[in-house]
Amino acid sequence: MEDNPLHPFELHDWIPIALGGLDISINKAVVFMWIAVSLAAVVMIMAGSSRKLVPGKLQNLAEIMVDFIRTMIMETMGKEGMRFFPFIGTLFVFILFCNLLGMIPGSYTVTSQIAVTAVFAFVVYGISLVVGFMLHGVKFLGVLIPPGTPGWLVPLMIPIEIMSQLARPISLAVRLFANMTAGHVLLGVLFGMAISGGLLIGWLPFVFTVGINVLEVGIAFIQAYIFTMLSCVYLGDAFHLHGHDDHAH
Amino acid sequence: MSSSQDPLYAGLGQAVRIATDLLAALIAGGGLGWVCDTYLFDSTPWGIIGGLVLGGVTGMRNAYRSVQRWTKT
Amino acid sequence: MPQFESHFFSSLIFWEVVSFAILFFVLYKFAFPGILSMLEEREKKIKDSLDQAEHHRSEAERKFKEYEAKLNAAAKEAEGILAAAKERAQRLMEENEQRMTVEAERIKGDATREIDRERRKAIQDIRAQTTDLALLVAEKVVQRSLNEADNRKFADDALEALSKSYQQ
Repeated sequence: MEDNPLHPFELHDWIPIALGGLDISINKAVVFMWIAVSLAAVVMIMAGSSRKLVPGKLQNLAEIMVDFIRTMIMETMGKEGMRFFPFIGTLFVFILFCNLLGMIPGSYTVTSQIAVTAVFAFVVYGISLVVGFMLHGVKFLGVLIPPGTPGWLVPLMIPIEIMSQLARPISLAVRLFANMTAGHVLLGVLFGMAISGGLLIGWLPFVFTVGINVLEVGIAFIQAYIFTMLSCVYLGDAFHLHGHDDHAH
Repeated sequence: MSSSQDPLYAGLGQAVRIATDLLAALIAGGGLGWVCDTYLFDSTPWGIIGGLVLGGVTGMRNAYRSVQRWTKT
Repeated sequence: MPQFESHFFSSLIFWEVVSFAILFFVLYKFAFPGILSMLEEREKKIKDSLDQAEHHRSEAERKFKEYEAKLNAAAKEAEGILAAAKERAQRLMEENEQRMTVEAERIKGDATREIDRERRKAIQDIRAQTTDLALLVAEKVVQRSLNEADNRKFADDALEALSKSYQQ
């Protein structure tokens, strides 16, 4: 075990590949991303194909997730938001499985990579912009002027609103990245202490490690939930102009 | 999620969210300022300073808004 | 922080997009429709049974209302019958009473009349007998035989006076 708690996040090119000028080398994060995606696909397909009215455990879990996502979409976007169900659902499943896979010692938490979370965040935000402009045209720029702003404040409010719009995907990306990183740093430190502490006092951090691991499973779920929830809220804002104060979650 | 119903967890989550939002606004402001400095105008370091200030203001306002919304419900 | 090493960004982002696209396609095609339709089916089933339960409930309620109404009607009818019976009894009683009164009145009247007649007859008898008696007494007192007509006139006069004084 290394002393540096950030060591588990280090990556090394395992198989260097270049596509055109683009470096798409395979590294640990990419491999675990594949594993997470494959697991997600297998679980969801199995759940989807065993059509029992009284579900088994796996089917139940998948159904709870799907129902959960559906409710989330319905609450934030309404019925027309169901068109985004496949996207939001895939997002949730992807993030959740990456988060959960990271719980296993020795694995890699893909969602602790800022690049990964940032891509999701900016894609979601980009989609919400596209939807907003497609539905409302130029009027969508009205989100930059919150309702009830006095006229003299407008020149100040517009930069602030632009900033807060830009902050949305950033906070989305940072939140997931920071939560997954922090949890693993804590876990790694405690685990390292358990190993180096030996039998005498090593059990104490080990107990902590187990406890934190349980907490981390919760965080894995909650962070996947928060990410998709906020994505839904942002998309919902694009649907309903100036309706964003209703979604106080 | 059941744990988010717990008032302690809810409060903690809310606090973390507000902190993240503040940080995000700062990053957005700083980033925008930095882009202005490096690519648009040769204004180092004023762009990044102005951007950070603006980002800070935005973050405060968003945090204030969240708290207001939170205490209202 | 190792996560900020931009060297890995391109491969991470590339594989992320590819993986996401594949997962999206797979779930879209093979997982979501099944699970969603499953959920909808179950929801429909639950809704159906709820509807059915609701239907049963409203049916039961309707039946209950019906019975209640019937019961009420029956109670009212019974009440009506009772009232009618009471009324008839009352009427009969009153009628009876009236008839009795009339009867009693009649009997009383008859009796009075009878008594009156008897009294008159008795007076007549007494008068006749008194006349005879008076004649006999007078004949004995006067010792003179008067003719029958004179006798009768005196006696009647005397009796007239007597009955007058009697009636006073």
